Amino acid sequence: MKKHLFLLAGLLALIGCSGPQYKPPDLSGYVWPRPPEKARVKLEKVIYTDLDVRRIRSSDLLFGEDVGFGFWKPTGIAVDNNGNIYVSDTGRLKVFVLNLKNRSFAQLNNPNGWSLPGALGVDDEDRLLAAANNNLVDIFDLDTKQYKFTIGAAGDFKRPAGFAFDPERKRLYIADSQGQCVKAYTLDGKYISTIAGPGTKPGQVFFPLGLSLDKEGRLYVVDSMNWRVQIFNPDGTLLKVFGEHGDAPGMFVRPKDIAVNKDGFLLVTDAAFGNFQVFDIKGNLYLYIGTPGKGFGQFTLPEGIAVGDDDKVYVADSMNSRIQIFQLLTDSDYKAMEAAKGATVANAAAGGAATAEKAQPAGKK
Amino acid sequence: MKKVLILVLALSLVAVGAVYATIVGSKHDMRQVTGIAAGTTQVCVYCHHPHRGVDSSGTITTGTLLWNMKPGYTTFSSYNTYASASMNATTSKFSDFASASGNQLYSLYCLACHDGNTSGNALVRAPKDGTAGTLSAIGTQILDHQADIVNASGNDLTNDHPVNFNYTTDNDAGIKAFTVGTGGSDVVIGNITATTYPLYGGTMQCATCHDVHNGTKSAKDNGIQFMRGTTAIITGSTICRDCHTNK
Repeated sequence: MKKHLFLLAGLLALIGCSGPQYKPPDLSGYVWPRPPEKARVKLEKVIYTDLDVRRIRSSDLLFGEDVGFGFWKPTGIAVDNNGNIYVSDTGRLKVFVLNLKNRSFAQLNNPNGWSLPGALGVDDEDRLLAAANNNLVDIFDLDTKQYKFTIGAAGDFKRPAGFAFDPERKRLYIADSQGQCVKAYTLDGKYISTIAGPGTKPGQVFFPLGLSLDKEGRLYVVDSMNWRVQIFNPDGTLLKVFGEHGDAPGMFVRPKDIAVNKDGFLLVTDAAFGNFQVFDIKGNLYLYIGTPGKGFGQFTLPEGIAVGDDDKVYVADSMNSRIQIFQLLTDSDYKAMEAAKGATVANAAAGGAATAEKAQPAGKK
Repeated sequence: MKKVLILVLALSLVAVGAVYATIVGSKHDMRQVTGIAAGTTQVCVYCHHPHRGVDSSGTITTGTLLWNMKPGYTTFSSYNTYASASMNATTSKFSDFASASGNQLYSLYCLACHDGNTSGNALVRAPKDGTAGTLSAIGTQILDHQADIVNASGNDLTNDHPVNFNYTTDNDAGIKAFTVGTGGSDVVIGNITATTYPLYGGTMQCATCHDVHNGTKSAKDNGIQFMRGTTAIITGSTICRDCHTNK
């Protein structure tokens, strides 16, 4: 069998079918803020299809493996501490599990089927994954990727649109956007309380979307049609409201999702701005990343956002049918990046080929 | 004479009824959302966002950025925003989504809420002929081409009507030619009902067939909400045949 494959591979090489390869784009210039400011965020990777993640073998092509399987409209996104990236696609009506380290790109199987996947949430401690499936919430085992149970019966939710797990208090917060509320559930799916009901007053929500939790257990709610972020204490009391409606930086027009990194930075996507804005817990605006468009570092209706412990930021760039991965930079990251840039320039000046990438065969579509 | 006058009066009343079809009371009137009635008195603000933060001299008065600071600082050396291609939120508008072919993707305005979460799901995706390609290949395909629609319950309606194609150059034979309407924009005057279907930069968008401000033709009126023309355009697929004259 091995010989057989070897022969086939040789044959393929002979007829010039070397498999789908392409040169990854140079993303080195995509940093925010722009020079000469010290870069705080850089674009690291853009994923359109499995070809951007997994290793494709000639045998995959020969034996009919699904190759070149891409996103249509990625919407929800979550990441676990094993580097698995979970992406729901409301166009494909599927949920994908990607791992850049293992170079894997798989589908999350749901015995209920996916009627409309959406928001995703991960609980690393209790090893759970929550996934919106039309008007229900399906819970999966994070390790086995097997379906466990469903939260809610018909009518309990109208559209679950945001999840935040609180591993310490063993809770799952669920934002119901069309149901106009944020509710708390136990990790086995029992209703505890309603954190926020419909309205425009502080503490009330109007089309709540993304949720996130910081390490102190504070709950962050994207209150989309009130154009603000609301922060709740673990006991359910309101801590802070910030944001207003308008097209200046720090305001919101179509805020979609929120992620809180380990240092307490809030990252909020806005579909109308085509960016994500970076705040602190007081609502001070630090930076925003992106403009409307389809170039690298641009967004067309960004939806879900997630951040890992390694400060990698994952954004579902829905209408560009791709995931963009950013890295938040520390001072030392920035210095290392500048040093590497200097080395490259020096090499190029000396005519050195050390950093030049090898030319690759032309990609096959 | 009297009869004629009454007729004219009656006709003008009908006309007035048509002109004043309105968003108020429609599904786009957010006050209709269950549980929210007491909370909001506003209608327009949910789609039309205020242009804030820039005073009459063009100075940015708000939204100062604090980059290079750690979160939670109260004293800082601040940086004002500047107008560059990468810092563009001050001029955010959906026409910024201009595609390579010069199309203005007005439909994004609809899709920003009709994304499956805030409202029902609708989808613009790569064209049928654009197989999911590689990173370098696919970037230019998205948005320039056609849309398929998937409804909220996830039933597959692929091959539904596309948006964002050029009405003239991307179409087959047998469509009604467009004319220049009032205000200089291209419009298609329906072949059967004489309904005005606007084009946007020569392209067909959601708003070509849907009038978001016109919520009067609800199901109880035996029609579909937010469609252009009268309820008659639903009967016998008239709305299709208004443009597809060969069908």
